Amino acid sequence: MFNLNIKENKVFALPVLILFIVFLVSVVFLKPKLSEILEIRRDIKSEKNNLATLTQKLATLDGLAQVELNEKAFLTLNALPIEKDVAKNLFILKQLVQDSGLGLSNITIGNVGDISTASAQTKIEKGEVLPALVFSISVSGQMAEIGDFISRVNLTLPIMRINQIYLSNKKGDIPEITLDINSYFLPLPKTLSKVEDLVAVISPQEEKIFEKLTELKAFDLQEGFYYSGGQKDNPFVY
Amino acid sequence: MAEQEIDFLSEQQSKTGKKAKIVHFLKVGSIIVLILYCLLTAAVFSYWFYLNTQGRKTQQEISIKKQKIESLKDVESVQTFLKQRLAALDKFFTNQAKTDLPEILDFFENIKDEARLKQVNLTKEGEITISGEADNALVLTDFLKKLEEEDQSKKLFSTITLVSSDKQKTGNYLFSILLEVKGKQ
Repeated sequence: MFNLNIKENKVFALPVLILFIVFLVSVVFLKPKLSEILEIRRDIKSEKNNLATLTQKLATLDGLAQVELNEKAFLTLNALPIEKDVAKNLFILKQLVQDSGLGLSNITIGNVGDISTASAQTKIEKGEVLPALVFSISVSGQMAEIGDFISRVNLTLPIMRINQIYLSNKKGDIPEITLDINSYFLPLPKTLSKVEDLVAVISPQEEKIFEKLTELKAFDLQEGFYYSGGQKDNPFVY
Repeated sequence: MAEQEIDFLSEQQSKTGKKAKIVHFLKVGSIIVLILYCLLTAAVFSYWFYLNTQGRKTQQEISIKKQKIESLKDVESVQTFLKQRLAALDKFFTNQAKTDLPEILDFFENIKDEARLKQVNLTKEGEITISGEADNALVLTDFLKKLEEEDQSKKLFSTITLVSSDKQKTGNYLFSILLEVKGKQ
């Protein structure tokens, strides 16, 4: 028969007690702490990645020369206004016609109904990359002068392109020509990037575009010639 | 004859010695296990504490960096604005055909003679459609011949296609020609 001799088994009390303590501490303290450690490690890894991104972003932002950046932004704003700027385009087209020695007969704004603030939706015509304000301009003059006008349009800011040419050259008459001109614009980006997102980097290809823009002529609109009212304030102050 | 003796005590002493050894081993072993376990627990706790400190430190650094980035928000906005415009312009210029329109118009002016050009349509793909009117078939033929054979034409256009030629009641011809500009993108 099994006989439990407490006196004899007393020697096992200490190991059993220690085992019990080990078990108890493992369940109550060690296991939750190990789980917590794994979780904290995951969090720290993710936070360190986040920190690396922020450090890189900060370094990029610190490296950007604000004055140069503003100048570039101003030039691109001249190339692509944030909204349809009828007054400015009319002034420029009129000026270009005069400079080419042509006679101006008529200017029609094609999509006048769509003139709106930057917040309004803009439509991009089929085959186009950018939204455009369409002008139809009738001029009279010699072919060489018309050619000169077209060259000037292509070399002027904002970016304009000729889509169609209607010729009316009766015998003996001074040629009269009607040109459909697209003047491009681009609304402001709808959202800015999140703090965690990296700064948009200008690629070498895009730098070349900037160089191209510096070669184009920007009109210096003097007071009285150009008025742009009733529009939202430009958030980019130069 | 020598007297034989049985030593019962020796065996009992031996048994007691073994038991004492086991008891001693259990005691010492248990204490060693306890010490090692305490060390392990302390290590785990220290590591947990270290990770918490690291986590707080990283969060503080993130917070400082975010504040600095926030203070440079204007620069970032201008950069985003610039990127948006340059990317759009890059796409625009890439999409544009390299058409020297003044030179082409000048060329038409030189060869047209009696033919009257009425409309010039340009496409982004670098195609030009011209339409016009000629008083008779001879004038139209002469214009087409010049358009095809002139050296400048060969420099400017890769293909020339007569799309339509309709004789009117008056005897005039309305024509439409499709020209594919060389070096288009």
